[in-house]
Formats: sequence, C-alpha cells, structure tokens
Amino acid sequence: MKVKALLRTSSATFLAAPVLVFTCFVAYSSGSLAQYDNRHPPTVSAAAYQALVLAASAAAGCGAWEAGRLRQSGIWDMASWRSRYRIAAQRLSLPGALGVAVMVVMTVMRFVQASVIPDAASLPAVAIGLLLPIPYAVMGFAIGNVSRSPVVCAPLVMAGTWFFIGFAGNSSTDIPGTLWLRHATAYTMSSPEIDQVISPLGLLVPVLFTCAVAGSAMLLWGPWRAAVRITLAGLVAVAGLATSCAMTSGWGYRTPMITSALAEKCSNRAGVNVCVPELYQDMLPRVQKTAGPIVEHLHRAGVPAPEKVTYRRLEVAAGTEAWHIWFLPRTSTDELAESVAHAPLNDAEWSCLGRKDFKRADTLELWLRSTAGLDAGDSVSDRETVAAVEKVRKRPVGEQAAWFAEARARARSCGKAG
Amino acid sequence: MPIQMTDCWFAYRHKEVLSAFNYSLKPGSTVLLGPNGAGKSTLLSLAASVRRPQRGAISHRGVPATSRDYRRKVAWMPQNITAMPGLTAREQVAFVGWAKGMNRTDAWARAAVALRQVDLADKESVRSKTLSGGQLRRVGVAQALVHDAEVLLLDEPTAGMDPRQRRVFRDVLAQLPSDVAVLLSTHDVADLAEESDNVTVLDSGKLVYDGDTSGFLAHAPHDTTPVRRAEAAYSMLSGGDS
Amino acid sequence: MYWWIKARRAHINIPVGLAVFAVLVWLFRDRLAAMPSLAGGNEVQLMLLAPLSVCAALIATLSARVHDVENAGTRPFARMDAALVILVVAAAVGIGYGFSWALGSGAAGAVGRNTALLTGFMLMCRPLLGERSLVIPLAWILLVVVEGYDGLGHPHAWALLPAPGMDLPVLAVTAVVFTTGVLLSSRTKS
Repeated sequence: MKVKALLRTSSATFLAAPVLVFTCFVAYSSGSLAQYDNRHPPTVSAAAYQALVLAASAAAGCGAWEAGRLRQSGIWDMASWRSRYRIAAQRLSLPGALGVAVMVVMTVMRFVQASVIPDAASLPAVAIGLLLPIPYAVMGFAIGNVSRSPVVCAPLVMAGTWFFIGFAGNSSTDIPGTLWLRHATAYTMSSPEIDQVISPLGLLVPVLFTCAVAGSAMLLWGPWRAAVRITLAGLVAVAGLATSCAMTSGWGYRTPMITSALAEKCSNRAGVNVCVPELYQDMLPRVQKTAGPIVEHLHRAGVPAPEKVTYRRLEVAAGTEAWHIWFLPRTSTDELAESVAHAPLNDAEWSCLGRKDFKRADTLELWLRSTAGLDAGDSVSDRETVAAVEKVRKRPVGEQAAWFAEARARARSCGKAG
Repeated sequence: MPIQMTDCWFAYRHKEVLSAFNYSLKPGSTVLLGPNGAGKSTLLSLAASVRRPQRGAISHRGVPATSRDYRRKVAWMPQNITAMPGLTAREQVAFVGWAKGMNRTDAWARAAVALRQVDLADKESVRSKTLSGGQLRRVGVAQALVHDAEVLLLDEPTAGMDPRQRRVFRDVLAQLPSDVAVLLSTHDVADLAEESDNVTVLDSGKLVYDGDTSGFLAHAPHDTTPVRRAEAAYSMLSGGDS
Repeated sequence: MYWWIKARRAHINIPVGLAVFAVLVWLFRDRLAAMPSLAGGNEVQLMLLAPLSVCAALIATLSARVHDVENAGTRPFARMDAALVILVVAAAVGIGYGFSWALGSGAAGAVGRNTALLTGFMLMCRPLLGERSLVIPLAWILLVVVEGYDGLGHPHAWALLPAPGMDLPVLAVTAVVFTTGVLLSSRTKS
C-alpha cells in the first residue's frame, strides 16, 4: 500500500494531532521541571518515560482498531500471497510510529527544557524508551483480532493499557507478587541521581516483558497447527514473564542503578570548606557565599561547625564531620539556604528523630531556621512549636548548645539506618 | 384490499425513492419486478412497517401500519437475512415468531413446521452462522411463514436457491391459504412465468405496470416460451435493466 | 425473551462485563496512580476506569439489535432495552456498594454512581453515534484524568467522577443524565 493511502486510512493519523499536542502540554506543565533539572543526561532520559503511558495507550488502541478493520474487511479470508505478518506489519507501522513519535517529542522536550545534550550514558534509556511502544501496538493488534467490533474494542484497549500501566507503576506491596510489574512497565522509572545511571537490567526487564507478551501473540498467528502455536506462544509468554519476575524479585521499589564516584570541586578559601560535584562547579561561589554565614550563625548558637559542607551524593572520609546539602542548578538562594540550615542532621537522623519525638523534630527544625536567619516558611505552623523555639532561644548559648546536642544524640540513636 | 399505500413519500437522506406513491396489493400472488434501484426493497420494507414514510399512509384492511396488529398480520422476508449469532435455525425462526406476538410454546412448535416446509428440518439444530447462503435464505422464508400472517412480503426469496429448492419454494406458496396475499420481488422472471396472479413493475419509484399476469404478458409476442415472453414483456415496460 | 437475550448476546456480554467490573473494583479499591496531566501530574483514582467495562457490555448488547426482526416485531423492544440498561446499572451499583462495605473503600462506594453517569452520557449520544458512543465515557474519563484536578490534586467540581459517593449534587446530575440517556436511547433504532 502506498504511503499516502496508508496515511489516509490509518487510525493513527487521526489520533496523532491530539495525542502529540497533549504530550507537548504535559511536557510544559509546571512542576515537572524540578524532577530532572540536574544537568545529568541519564536523569533527563528517565524523565521522558512519563510519556510512556500515552505512547503505549495510543499505539495499543490504534493497533486494536487496525486489527478489527482488517478482520471486518475479510482480508484474512483471502488466500493472500503476502504473509499475514507482512500485512499486519504494514497496518501496524503507523500505530507503532505514533507511539514512537510521542516518546520522541517528550524526550526532545525534556532535554531542551533541561538544556542538556544526551551523552553515551543516557542513550540506552532513550533508545529503549523510543522502542517500547511498538510491542504495545502488537499487543493491541492481537486483542483487536479476536474482538467482534473495533468500535468497542479499540477504546477499551486504549483505556485498559493506560490504566494497566498506571496501576502497575503504582502497585504497592499490599498486593503480593505485583511489585515486579512496576519495573516491567517502566512508567515509573526511578530518577537517577547525578552519580547514577539506570542499570542495564533495569532497562532490559521492560523490553523482556513487553516483547515476551507481544512475541507470544505473534506466535499465535503462525502457520502451524493450533496445538503447536498455542504451546509455543504459551512457552514464550511464561518464560518472559517468569524471567522478568525473577530478575526483579530483589529490587524493591526503585529501579536498580549503577553508582559511580563523583568528582568533587572544593573551595580553597578560608572558613568552612564547601564541596560541590564537578558538574556544578560553576555554583561553588554561590554555595560558598550562602553556606558560610549560616554555618557561622549556627556555630555561634552552639551548633558544632562542620569540617565540610558538601553535596549529598559526594563521599566523605570516615570520621569527618560533614554537613550534606542538596540542590539543583536552578535552586534559588533561599532554597539553598534552607538546605544548609537543615544539614546539621542528615536524612536518616531527621527520620529517626521524627519517629521518636516529632515535636522535638519540629522544634529543632524551626530553631535551626530562625537561628540561621531564615523565615519560618511552611516548615512549622502551630503556636506550640513557635513558643517552644522562642523559649530555647532565650536561653544562654551554652544551654542552647546542650539542647542541640541532646536532640542530635536522640536523632543518632537509631543507628546508621535512621 | 390486503395492503393499501396512499400518497406515500419516502427518501433516504434527501435521495427521493418514492413520491406521491399509491399502491394496492391485490389478493393472491403478486410478483414485483423492476431494475436495480427502482425502489422494490423500499416498497417492501414500508409495507412491512419496518420503515415509515415521511408522508402518506399505509394500512391493511383498515388497520394502520403504525399499529401492532398490522405487524402481527404482515410477514416480511428482507433481502439480507441476518444469521443471529448463538441461535440455531429453529431458535432463530422461533424468535421471529415470538417477536411477532406468538407465545413461546407456539413459536417453538411452529418454527419446526416452517423449517419442514422449506426443507430444512435436518438443519433445525444447526447454528445459523454455519448455514450456507441458500440455506439462510430458506430460514428467511421460514421466518415469514412461522406466524400465519395474512400478507407475505418477500424480497428476492429465491436468490441463491438451486432449481430443486425453487420448486420447493413454489410448492410452499401454492399451499398457502387462498386469503393470504403474497408480494415477492425477484430478478428471476421464471418465478413469474410459473405461477403468479399479478405483476407489478416499478421503475425509479413509479408504477410502470400493475395488473394481472396475462395483461403483463400481452406486451410480448405469443410465439415464444413463457419465460422468454415474460422477459420480453419486462424489457418492453421497464427498459430492460434488471 | 430468552431468544432475544441470546440473539443480542446479552448472556455473554453482560455477565462478562459485570465480572470484569467486579474484578476491577476489587483490584483498584482506593488506589491512586500518578498520571500525566495538564496540571503537572496528578494522583488519580484507578477506580475511574472500572465503569467502562459495563458501558462496553451495554453498548455491545444494544448494538447487536436485529433490526429486521425488531423493527417489524410487535414486542416492546425499546422498553426491553431500557429495562436491560437499568438492571445492569443497578447490578453495578450493587457490586460497588457491596465491595465498599466489605473493603471499606470510598471509591467503590462511588463507582456505581459513576457507572450510571457514564452510561447516561453514552446513551445520550447513542442516537447520533451508535456503537461509537462508547468513546464518550472513555473521553470523559480521560478528560478527568488530564484536566480534572488542580495543581494541588483537588478535583474540580465539574469532573463529577472523583466526588464522594454520597455527594448530593453529583447524585442529582447522575439521575438526570441517566434518565435522559435511557429515554433518548430507547427512541433510537440504531
């Protein structure tokens, strides 16, 4: 069939405009930039997977529609010279292309928004993401092939795919044995930190899962006897699903990552030693300028000064008293200051203190912020906490230092795990 | 008169098929002829109360076509018989009988009789979907016979039937009570030549001829076979395209 | 009536549709899923999808109408269609309330109402779209997913579906929409 005729008759042509426009809107929607705006290409490529639910649903729905139309037209009853796979592939070319187009649009927009160029480490995730909608088109085609009415089947397949991926991506551990679906559908791919890339296995599992299901559907159309077709298809499906499940059995909630050492850049100026990843070395002066006064204020109030203020993902030598901060390139100075003020306790210690005595945790946080000269902001709102902090601040410095030490000791009592 | 159509007007989405159409079905068997697109199927579906004319009135012995009584008394065999998925031949015929107002027991019993009449007794437990085209048409005839209607409207009943099945069909018509009026459309003038009391010829929604068979055949030379004579008469009246 | 049910394949479509519905209600409960939206991503109730199986079963059954037989018949097929729709939706409401009581799920308590609402929308459009009217409930669900919540994850009033099960204004709208849909659909012969 000529390309023009294919374009004119394909369901994907009609769906392309609204789906791609919607993808662009989603890409521009507020609040999503912060999740991946860390100049790290693998993080950006993982963020593009947010569009996978759109791409897969559109491809599957169009695939189901094409299958139903082929069936209604009686093509399969004709003794065609071309193989049925060839005929199916021709009709599926545009639904698959639509899914790929959605992923291309989202990937390009994410890289443009983050002002980052893909590197070798991010390309595998990009490539897998672009190709994942194609097996969904095949699966939609397989379902549409057995339905009586494409008008009923195609919308159901589209909605079913959308909600299946959404459900799989959010399945919690209260349904035993379903956590692996989260990794198999790749919709909620975890976001790599700047020292991480997604493990090859993390990318392989969704490919294995989708290709196993799509492959078994294709085997069902094969030119062999029914018993052979069904057996082969069943074996492929079971092998693929079982392998995916086994591979993910120890993964937990997050996609497995490969972590490598981060090169750091430190300030050589007098005062507190501030270190940032080499990727953010242009931010070093601003971080130094923000962290210095806060450390000073807190030290005067009785908080022991750290030997180092460093980025959260940077390694610190054992025994070194370090404060860990977290920021992104576009983090505002106020947000940076909050991170520094929050840093005397690490995340595990805050978590421990919150569990043991959440009122003390709230009080400590507000005390650190106000001592550092920051606004209370959204951190605390109840009067009891404000009153407690004012009471602590009226004490002599020595007593404040002891109060802080006691709180920190409590926070450290849970051990390293927090 | 069995069926009376008065000043009827019908169009499909602005394509006029019948306009100011007046027709009275005569007692006995009437063959409806006409070229493709003449309006034969439309006429039959209007008479069967499946469609409603945009203007005009249709009645059967004073009973308007909009009433349920009318539909109970008028049987219809459409041009395309739908094989109902999941139903056997007998169930399909019985369903039509029930839809026409028969109770379930009577419809079930009469369905078997109707299938016997069309020589399909051996297929009554076979799913309709698996029947051949000709067998399905005979099921359609059975659907028209199941509920003892006073008028039978048959749209190309013999299409797809072999000569023996056509003979069976004609025997069925011959055995109908004399007060049952039949209007059947056909492209096979042999149907007309064999046994019909009246002929109606339709062309572009207009009645070209409506009278008895001998008057119709008078339009063609006598010195030929009945079938050829009928063909010649038809060609004379309608321009020949069928 | 038995042959009518078989001819319409209602004996397959309806039980399958309700069974899928029940499985989805049991599976989804109050679970949320992050979905892309115009407000920057929202946690959406998965239960929003469940009514679609009932809508699909109903439209497949209504569209399996045997026109030649039913148009020429004397039985009140339009009323039978309406009764079928009402019974099926009532069953869906019952299933929803049953799971709501058994599982303590608020979303399950609303799913029956949502089924009635979406079925009503679908039936209102059936005279124009025929079998294609199934895209109407699908489009409404997707509209709610992508634009039915504000930036803080709170549903807009017009979205209707995320509202609690006993929300009176939404119940009133549902009653009007469902009744109108059943009445309009019973007048169509498509």
